[in-house]
Formats: sequence, structure tokens, C-alpha cells
Amino acid sequence: MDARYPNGKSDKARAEWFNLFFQTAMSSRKVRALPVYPPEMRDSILKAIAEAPGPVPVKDLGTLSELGRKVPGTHVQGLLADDLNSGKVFQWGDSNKPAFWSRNPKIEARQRILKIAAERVLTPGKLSAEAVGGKPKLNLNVVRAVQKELIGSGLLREVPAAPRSTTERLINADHPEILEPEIARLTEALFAKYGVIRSPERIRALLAADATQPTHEPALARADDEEIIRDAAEKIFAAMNRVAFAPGTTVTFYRLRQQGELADIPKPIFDRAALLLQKERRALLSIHDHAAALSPEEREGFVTDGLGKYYVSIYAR
Amino acid sequence: MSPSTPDRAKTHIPFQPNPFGSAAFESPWAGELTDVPAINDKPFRLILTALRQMRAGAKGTSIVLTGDPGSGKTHLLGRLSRRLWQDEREGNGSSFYVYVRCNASAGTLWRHLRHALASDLLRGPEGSQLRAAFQSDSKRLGNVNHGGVRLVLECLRDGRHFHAAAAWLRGELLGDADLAALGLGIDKEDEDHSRERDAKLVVDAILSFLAPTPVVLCFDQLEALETYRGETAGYHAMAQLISTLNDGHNHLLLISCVVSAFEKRLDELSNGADKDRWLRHKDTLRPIDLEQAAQLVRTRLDNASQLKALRLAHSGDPWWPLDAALLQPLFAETGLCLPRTLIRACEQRFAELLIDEGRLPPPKSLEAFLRDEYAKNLLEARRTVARQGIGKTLSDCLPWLLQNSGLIPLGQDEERSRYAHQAWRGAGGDLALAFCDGGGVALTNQLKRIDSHWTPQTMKLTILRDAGIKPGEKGALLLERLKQRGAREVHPLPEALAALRAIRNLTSTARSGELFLGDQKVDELAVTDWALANLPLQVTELRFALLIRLLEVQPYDSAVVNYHTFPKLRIIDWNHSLDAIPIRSLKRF
Repeated sequence: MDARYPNGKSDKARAEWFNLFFQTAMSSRKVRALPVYPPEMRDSILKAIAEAPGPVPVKDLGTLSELGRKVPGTHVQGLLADDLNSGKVFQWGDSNKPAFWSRNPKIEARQRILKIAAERVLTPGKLSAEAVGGKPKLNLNVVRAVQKELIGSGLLREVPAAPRSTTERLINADHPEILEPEIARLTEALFAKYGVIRSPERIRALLAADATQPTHEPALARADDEEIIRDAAEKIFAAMNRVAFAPGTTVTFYRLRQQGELADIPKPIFDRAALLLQKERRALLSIHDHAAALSPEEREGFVTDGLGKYYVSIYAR
Repeated sequence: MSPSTPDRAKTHIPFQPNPFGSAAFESPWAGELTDVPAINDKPFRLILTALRQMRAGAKGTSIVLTGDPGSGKTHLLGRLSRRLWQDEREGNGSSFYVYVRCNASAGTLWRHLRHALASDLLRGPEGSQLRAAFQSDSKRLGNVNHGGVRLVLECLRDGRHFHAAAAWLRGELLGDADLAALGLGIDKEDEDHSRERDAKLVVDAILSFLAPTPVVLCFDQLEALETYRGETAGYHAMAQLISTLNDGHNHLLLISCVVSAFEKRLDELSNGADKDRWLRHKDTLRPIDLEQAAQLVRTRLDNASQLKALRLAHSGDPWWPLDAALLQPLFAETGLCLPRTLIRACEQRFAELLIDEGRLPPPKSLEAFLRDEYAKNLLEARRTVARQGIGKTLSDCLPWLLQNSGLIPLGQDEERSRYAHQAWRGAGGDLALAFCDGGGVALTNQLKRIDSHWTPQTMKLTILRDAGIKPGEKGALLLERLKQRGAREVHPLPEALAALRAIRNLTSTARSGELFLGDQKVDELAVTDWALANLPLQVTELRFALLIRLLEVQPYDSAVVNYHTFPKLRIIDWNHSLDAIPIRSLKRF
């Protein structure tokens, strides 16, 4: 007898079905069904979140005047569950006092940590504490996790402890204005240990020589450019998460370019922003391995690194 | 060896099969599967969830999987087939598994599916899946309302005329005697069948027969639907096919795999409804991290029987005889690496460690490699062409030749589709091509249709048909009349068809990123360039016979024409239009 439905249920299939039903019904943690709310209510909540300058507590979302009635916090969370899973909105605060916002707390944490580590060399604990403290306040666990990712991806580098301390510190290695004095100090200390003294000019020359090593990354011309590219990267990342079929699935650049907020970004900026997301290990790009055979018009729709590689789509790591 | 080379590099092991020798998983039906379940676990769970839903009574769905070449799409389909067989053995639910490599075209998709469906049903892990279907439910035949399918399935059930029945089910052409033995009627004169429509009806009937047991249809290498680079008609036809299957049957799990580089073609689909039905679920196969890589390498090494004893002596080092440090550069850029890239690197490293390294043949040139690959494909293609006939082969393979000869394909046209399968534009005008399969009444009916719908004023017409099949009396008269009205007849040689099929398979494999010379990927452009520069004589003749119709600027009234451009002196007898028949059979000019 074939185990299948709906015709001719076998004993085994019937038993499986009953088991499934029984387990759901008798589960110790009962899942209450969400009352049916009109779809406009969810839309109003999403609109309020999108327009808010910061995270909106779930309590405030439940009492929005547009809703016409008070909605319990748990129901608000239920209404937003799909949007939360698909990355349209993000949860802020903690599980006791959840809040929702359209900005990803991980991105905020990342930017804060990199900014602080570009200005000062701090221990991991102090760095995360400072990042948490800004406005809006971040969850410490989120900050710690992001900090760990940044260390793993090489964007934050560990440097030896400060004098009279045993804890290693973290530095944003992409910023020469903080990296140079730190390396100079360490080199000086090392040479002094062996009785060798090097003038600051020699040390600077050494660092300069290192800095002139060829790199495959297109150099950023100005700090302004970097800001523009980073901003574009954030927009691409947000749009990618929004339009992706499911979290982590590929989105073609063809489709991304159709999104209103990305349509006007100049191609060189767009390309470098997409590459930045891969470099920072937030996203992966799918390569088109025979782009050379395509027409220039078709290639124009892809992202390129300028060195002959063409990428056709992007997906979250 | 330099003194700085790590000690590991000095390791040598006795000659034995390379455990990394099969980087590309060619077909889910092929051989053993060395699997690491943690790799691509998420998309696999998505498939299993859909299947469980179906077994619990839900309607089937469609899943699209994207991924870079070498990310493991075909391997995942192989893992699925093993899982289904395991479920069957352990009594966790039965299902049917069908693998379809999409090297077809817009006009032949249903025939292609019919062939794959019938072929896979006639095989299985333990005998044929069809036999299992009969064993699990003897009343299934009651679901079938297609007389032909019913008769053929009865033959297969009872073990009567097995070969003829299997061939019919696959859509192969049968002689009148075989049809009569199966109890199938021969076409009547007033019946005019489209082979594509026939195939759709047969597919529908077979799927109804299998219902309600879930049928998992895996469409692999969707990008192979492009008969030439950039052709999109195949994707539109595929979307329609998925939509039709989805609407017509509740027990189908449709899985489609496409290389990420071609995903844009799905974004560009114009029919939103078809697209929605196709893209019900989607997931992306990802590169692997170092931990998964270690598992993959370890699994392959552990499965190498001749390496077991040696590895026991190095039980503290799971990577032995390889060195993890040597593979780490693969992960430098993104921290991730495609499984196939890793396996290829391991394969190369392992080959270096084999003691008879010096006896390895010298590396092949690209030319020699493509020649060998073509020869391998040609052997298979000769068999395929003999089975599938002239129509499907030309529909799938001729566009590559004509597009690369500078012709421009003309879009769909309802009126034209009544008499022609393809239409092309060249410098000398437009040319419609009609492919005639079979003979007897079927040929007569097709010629009737051409005669009633084609007008010479709209475009030139060339009829391509098998020279070995003689038309009947009425067919011959119709053919003569069409020729008098200006149509030409071309007889492609079987070897030309096989060569075109072999080239098509080779370009499709390259397009999917599966063609490697050592560790170098060979792309589609390289294959196309090589194939065009080395076209077999039979294909050159066929091309010439088709192109001449678009190059001619004035009508040729003379019986014999001498073409200086052709590699050898040849004669073309316009009155009989035997353009593609080698001249050695004709009188020398």
C-alpha cells in the first residue's frame, strides 16, 4: 500500500499524520493563533517604522492612532514576524522591551565600532562599551558579535597592550592617521629593546614604503568618496535584503538597479559599493565567467572590479 | 625541491585512483556519491520540507536553485535521489525521481521531458521505478485516459514487446509493425499531429498514472536551453511548461537549477503568472568555509580504499597526505571557496604525490582537448540522434549553426508556425525551415499542412527531411508540387546531425562551467570558436545548402551549378534539390 494522501491512506501514513497533529495540539508551549487583522494595520505599522528617526518601542506601535484600536505588543510582533525574517524591519532593544526600526542594528554597530577604532586604540571591552552607549542604544550582545566578525574579517586588527596593561587592543587598520603613530610607537619600542634607535623619519619612510606596495583594490581618492561609497553600500545591502526571494538568496544587479533608491547611483560608485560589501564579508558576489563574450551593453549591467572580473548577482553571507 | 618546501610536500604515495578525480558530478544516476550533508544543507532542507508537505497532502510546488558553477547543484540533486531511495527502503514514503538535463529548445521541451520521464521511470535503484509503481498500486492504470499510454503501460507491466513499448513511451519513432504489435493505430490520413502536442499529452497521462505519489522532476542546467548564446525563447517555454505542470497536477515537486550568471534571464521573463508559478521558492547554493572544506576533503580521503592503511599511520592528521596550509590560499579572498575549486586543487595536489608522477601524460593543448571531448560527445550523439530523429535534433542544434553563420532568427509568428519550425533572415531575404520526421501518413499530413499554409511570396522555404525515408505516393506528389512552387528539399546526413548534437552538448557543458582542461575552465566562446573552425564536412555541406538560399541573388534555371567557394568541386542539381548529399554519388561535372 502506498503511503500517500488524500486517497487510500495507509496505516503508517495515518499514524504519521496523527502524530503530527497530536504533537502540535499537545505541545507544552501552546502557540496561539494571531487574530485576523486587516492588512492595512500592518501597513500602517510598517509606515510608522520606516518614517521613524529611531527605533520605535513595540508599545508605541500598538497605540498608533492610525490603527483605530489598541493592539497588544505580542500581536504587533506577530504581524511583523514575516517582515522581520525577510529583513524589512529589524528588532532593537532587548527581548523585554523590543523596539523596531528599518535600520539594521548590526550595520549601526559596525559603523560605530569602525569609527571609534579609527580614532582611538581601545581594548575590546572599552570599544564595545563605547559603541553600545551611542544613540540609539545598541544591544551589547549584538555589538560583541559584530566586533568579533570585524576581527575575523581583518577590518579590526589586534595590537599589543598599552604600557602597564596586559590586554590587547583593537585598531581600524584602514586608517593610516591612527595606524602610523601606533606602528611607529611599537617599532620604536622594539628597536629600543635591542639598543637600536631609529629616527622618526626612518620609521615613516619604512611605513611609506609599505604603503606603496601595489594593491588590487581601487584606491579611494578622497574621504568624501569613501562616505558616498559606504552610503551606497548600505543602500544596496538594504535593497538586497528587501527584494531577495528569501534571506541569503541571490539578487541580480539587473533587478537591484530597478530599485528606486539605487537607480541614480553612478555606475563606478555602485560597483565599488558592491565590491565593498564583499570585501567586508557582508555579501558575496556571483561571478559571470564568460562576460567577455557578451556585448558591452550587457556587460554594463554587471558589476566589475575593473580588472576583468564581472559579477552578475549578490547575496547576503 | 627547494629546502623551504614543507616536509609534507616530500610525501609520496603508491599509485592509486585519485579520490578527487571526479570534481563534476555528471548525473544523479551515475555511480557512488561521496557526500558531506553539511554542505548546502539549507537548500536541501527546503526541498525535503516541500516533499514532506506533499506527503502530508499539500499541493506540489516549484523550487529554483541558483549557484555558481561548481557550487554543487547537480550533486544536490544526486543527494536528493539517494534520500528518496532511502525513504522508500525505510518505508518513509514513496516517490518517483526524474532528472532532466535541459539541453533542449523552446520547440522541443515537451518531447525532451517525455524522453527523460520515460527513461527514468524505466530505471531505478532496484529495478525500474515503473515496476515499483505497478507493485505499489495495481489500480493506477485507471487514472490514465490516454489510450496509447494505457496500452503501452499494459505491455510494460506484462513484459510484452518491452523494447518497442519503452521506445514509444520515450517518444521514439516506430515502424508500423511495432505500432501494430503494441496495439496502437497508425495515423489516419485526416489526422495531423504535432509531435510536441503529442508529447505533452503523453507526459500528462504518465503523470496522471503516477498520481498521487509525489513525482520529483529535477530540471538541471536551465542555461542549456539557449540554443545559441543569448537566446531567451527556451526560458519562456520552460516557464510555460512549469506553469502547465503546476496547474495540471498536484503531486509534482519541480526543482530547477540554474547557474547564477543566467538568473537574469528569469528576471526578464515577461509573463508574470508563469514566472510566479516557477519561482514559488528559491534558494542559493553557497561556497563552503574552511570547516566544511575539511569535512569534504576528509570524507573523500576516508573513502579511498587503497589509502586506508597509510592514513591509519597518520591518524592524528585528518588531511594526510594533503596539507591544509597549501589549500588555505583558496579561501584568502572571501573566506569561502566553491566545492569544485577545492576538489580540483586537491586532485592536482594528490596527483603530485603519486609515486609514478613522472609517467603522467604531458598536458594537452586546448585544441587536442576539445578534439577529444568532441569525439567523446560524438559517440553518444550518434546514438541519441538515431533515437530522437531529425526534427528534435535540428530544432535543438541548428540555431547554433545558423546564428553563428550570420543569420538572424525571426520571432514567433502564428501563421508561419503552421508550416515551419524556424525562420531566419539573411542578406538575401527570409527563409523558413520545416523539419519532417517520419514517413508515411505522418509525412503526407505534414506536407499537406505546409502546402496549404505556405505562400512563396512571404518567404523562401526549405524542407529538411531524412533521405532514407521515402514518401508515399501522395506525399511524393505533394513534395513535387511544393518544389514546383519554389520550396527546396535538403537531406541532412545522419553524421551532420550527430556532429551538431555533439557540438551542442559541448557548448552547453562549457556554458554551465563544467568543462575543464586541467584546472583551467574552458568557456563557451573557446568551444564555439574551435567548433566553427573545425566544422565536419557534413555540417559544412548542410550549412552551405541552407545558406545558399539566402545568398542567391537571381534564380538559377540551369540544371547544374559549380560552386567555387566550396572545399571541393561539387554539383547541385536544382531540379531535384539534393543539396546536402555528397557529390560522390552524383556524376562529376
